[in-house]
Amino acid sequence: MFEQLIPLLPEIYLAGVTLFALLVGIFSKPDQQFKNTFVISISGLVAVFALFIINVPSVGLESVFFIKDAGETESLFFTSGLASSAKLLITLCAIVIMMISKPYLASRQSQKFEFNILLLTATLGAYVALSTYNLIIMFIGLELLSFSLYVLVGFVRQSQNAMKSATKYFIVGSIASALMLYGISLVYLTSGSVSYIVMAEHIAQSTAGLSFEYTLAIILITMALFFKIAIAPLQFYLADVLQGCNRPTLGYISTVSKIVGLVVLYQFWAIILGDKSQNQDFYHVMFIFGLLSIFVGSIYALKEESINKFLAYSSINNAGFMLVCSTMLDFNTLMFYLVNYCLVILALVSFILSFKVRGEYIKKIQDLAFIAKQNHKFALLGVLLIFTLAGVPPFVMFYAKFAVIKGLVAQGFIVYAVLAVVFSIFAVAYCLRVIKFAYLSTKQEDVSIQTITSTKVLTYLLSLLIVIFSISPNIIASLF
Amino acid sequence: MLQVGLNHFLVLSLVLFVVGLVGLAFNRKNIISVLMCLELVLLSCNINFVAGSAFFGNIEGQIYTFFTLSIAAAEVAIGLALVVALFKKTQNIDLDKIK
Repeated sequence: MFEQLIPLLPEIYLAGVTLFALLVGIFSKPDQQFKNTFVISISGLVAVFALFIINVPSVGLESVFFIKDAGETESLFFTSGLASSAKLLITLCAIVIMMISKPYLASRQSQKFEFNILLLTATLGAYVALSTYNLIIMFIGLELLSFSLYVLVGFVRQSQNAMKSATKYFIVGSIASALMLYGISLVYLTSGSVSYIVMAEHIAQSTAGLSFEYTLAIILITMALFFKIAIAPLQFYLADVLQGCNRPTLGYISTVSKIVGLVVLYQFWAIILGDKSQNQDFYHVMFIFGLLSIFVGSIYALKEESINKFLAYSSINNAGFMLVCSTMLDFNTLMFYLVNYCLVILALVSFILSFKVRGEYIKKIQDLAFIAKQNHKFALLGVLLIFTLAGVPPFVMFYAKFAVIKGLVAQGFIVYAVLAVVFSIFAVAYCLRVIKFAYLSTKQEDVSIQTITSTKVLTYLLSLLIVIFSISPNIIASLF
Repeated sequence: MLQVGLNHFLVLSLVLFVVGLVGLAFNRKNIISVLMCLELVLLSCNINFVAGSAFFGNIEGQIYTFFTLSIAAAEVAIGLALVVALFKKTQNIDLDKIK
């Protein structure tokens, strides 16, 4: 009986670690709480990472493991190569974010142990959402992820902006999840089941095209996922939310919720649309959404001075590219892009958190000038990371964007490919602005700059990874 | 005599859903009523689940209803906690002022 549960081991272990860390946190002395839960959480996440590496199944959606008690179509849990590699990436992001958050929270006077617990529950929610073909279980996983994020966004309670951001994120996110739940209930009402596979069978059997209920349901579920990923017409909340949010959570939102949303979207489309994804209308609609977010992301980033908003807009820009990958049901390109994107975002977030100007973390891009004056090499690293995010050729994001555009051309969508290239040029324009701010501004005043060694080391490590991948991008492709 | 069928429940839940959404769209005064509208939308989904469960004769729909109810409860708990924390900071819970 228990052999069936072996693929579930990482999830069960993580849930156990979460509860254990909560108990330890409650029963430790107040000054020990954060340290104890931090150690338990980090070691738990590393162990989960190892578990995934040990039992990672072969690549792709085909090799699917079911818990077969309820029959294949009704099973609640599965693992596949895609889900496992996405979960590995999520674990990596969670570990890095947890390392970054320790000195950050200490300097904001809110080093409470709940932060670690909430990061763990968010990670667990992400796992649950990824490893199922059942809409309700997927919904529960997404909700676990978003509930933890609502609290994490408002974690620094002294800040009024953080509370506003949290409330805003809560309202927008819960509207999205209500829409998704209505879509799911419509699916249940039409087919008597909420499994992707049953849904796919119903769609394949219907000869007269999609019924009204199914169309509405698919639109609602896709729209709710677009809210989570922040695809262009539904991206309006992201910049305001990330503006007031604390930086480690910013990193978590712009990596993990994007991974989860995109991979869930990929699985949903790959199963329910199947061969009908050759449908031209579907391609056109999704590409228009993708290109719109590439456009909006790069245009708004052009005039942005606050670093949080800048990161928000460039994550919208990249989400557009990733949406194009998952529309084309191109597993390898999607994973390649996601790995690069997460690495660059994590490196940038840890870069901006690795020094303080006048005792505070920097808020605007102009403040890079201070660090450029005192520590040339480190400032150059930051500028190069922003270059990488924009996709300037020698760096690894260029290969990812190139792969997306190549895929578009191969499928025969030349117009969209050209538009994607044109919109990317705007993204390169803001690199020039960053150089101007960092090196050509005439700020002569001397200010005190502290560096935070642990975060700085982390930045170097992540940058080293990026450099290695830039030199030979095939390494990533061989990982999955 | 009128036979109440699946379609009637579908229409009922659709009406509740639309009422909830319209409430969300037009209510800009305070967050508590936004929470109530959200609850209305989630309950309209529950009607769908229960009606489907009775129509298909399987128990799953009722189990999903329990999932949904507990999620809605958690959502409102987090929402109210955020509202309290926001009120302590800004002394108002007006949605327009947040933006």
